[in-house]
Amino acid sequence: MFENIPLAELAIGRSTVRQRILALLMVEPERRLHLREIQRRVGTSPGTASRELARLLAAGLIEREAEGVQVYFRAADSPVAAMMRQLLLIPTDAPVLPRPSSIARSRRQRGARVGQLAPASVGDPAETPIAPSDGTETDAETGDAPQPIDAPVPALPERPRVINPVPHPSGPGSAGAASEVSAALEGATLPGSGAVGGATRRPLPSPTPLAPSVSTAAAAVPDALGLLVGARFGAAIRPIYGSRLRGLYLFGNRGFGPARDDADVELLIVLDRVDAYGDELERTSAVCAQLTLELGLVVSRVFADQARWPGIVDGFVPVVVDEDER
Amino acid sequence: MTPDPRATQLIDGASQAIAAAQRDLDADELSAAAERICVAMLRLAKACLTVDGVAAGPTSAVCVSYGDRFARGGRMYSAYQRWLLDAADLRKASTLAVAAAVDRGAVERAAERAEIFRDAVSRFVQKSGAS
Repeated sequence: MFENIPLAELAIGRSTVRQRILALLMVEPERRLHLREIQRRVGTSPGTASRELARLLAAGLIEREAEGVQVYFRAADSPVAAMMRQLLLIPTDAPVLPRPSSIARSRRQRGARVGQLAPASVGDPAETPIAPSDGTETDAETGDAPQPIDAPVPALPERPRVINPVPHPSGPGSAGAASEVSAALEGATLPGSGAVGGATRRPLPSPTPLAPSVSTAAAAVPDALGLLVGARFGAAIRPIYGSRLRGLYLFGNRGFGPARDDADVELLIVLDRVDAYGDELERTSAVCAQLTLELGLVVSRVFADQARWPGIVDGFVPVVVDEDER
Repeated sequence: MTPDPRATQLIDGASQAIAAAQRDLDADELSAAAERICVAMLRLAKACLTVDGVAAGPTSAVCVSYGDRFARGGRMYSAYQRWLLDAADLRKASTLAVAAAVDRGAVERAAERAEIFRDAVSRFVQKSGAS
């Protein structure tokens, strides 16, 4: 994204969300984007995106255009913005990823591991529940033949083994928050993991300083309910994917900290490879639907290809991580 | 009794969104098509909720309320709720930078399902108006 991270931090602060938003708008200066799209593409919450946009607006680096009820943002056509763009040396064909790839390395340096998958045991994608074919539901809306929600989602299991979400250790107030999250997850594990009793919880890693380019946003304490739902979701899709599952991350509002009760639970599923996106949606469709019905919350998922996943990213909180990813 | 005018309006809007999505698909604009399909699915879910006298809220509230009222009790085919959630997630994937690329097949499948859902909702609204 930015060729010169220290200069970017000096010029527009250390918020990587702000840097990402600016990069997004400056990479395509002629294009205007609305808040929701910016939020999605940057991978942050609407509130954070809105706050950072207001700051960039106040700094004169971006412009705001209202069209009816829709508000759009674009890179400002000002000398300051042009200078900033040149200073930042953004290549025009740079992919807009939520995080510079160099950050992924800091993950290993920090040793802030948060969980690992048990060895693959089961999981044949061919056995996964597939929704009925599109032509089979004629007149079903009359209620004559209601279809059961298939693929039962495992209930919250007993003790944690491979799921061990930990807020960033160097975050403000993280010690109390860490214990709060750990307490909330007491009783969450993956089925079939063989964990018995409380002896399997791995110790928290010792705190190490953040790398200079890592935003303090990473220090936010993740939402406990989001992590719990993520744990259940992970348990439900593990038999579907087996060793193909490389990681499961909580993101969106709940990835940045305690969220509103009705906030969506947004999960990113990292697979070894994603050849046909629709097939992956299909495989997890029943799990999402059932959890959504049961919890009264939208549980949504997005799939990422391991090859394109940059590693740890602000606002993406690991729930389950394959040991090979460590 | 005639069908709820607001529900009818929403179904018409969904039809337009589906037609626009087909044009986007023809132009190979997968992201735009996914967005329109999601909009169409949400409008159709809102049409069902309107018949029940439920005010439509944000996207998540529509998905949850629709599931609660129509999928849980079997008033409509439960797969429609899954398709609604899938459409929303497909839209999200098409705009999220870290997500894997959304393929044409996924969008085409979503478009077909939107049409099936529209036909089902149309029948549901007609029946509710007739009763």
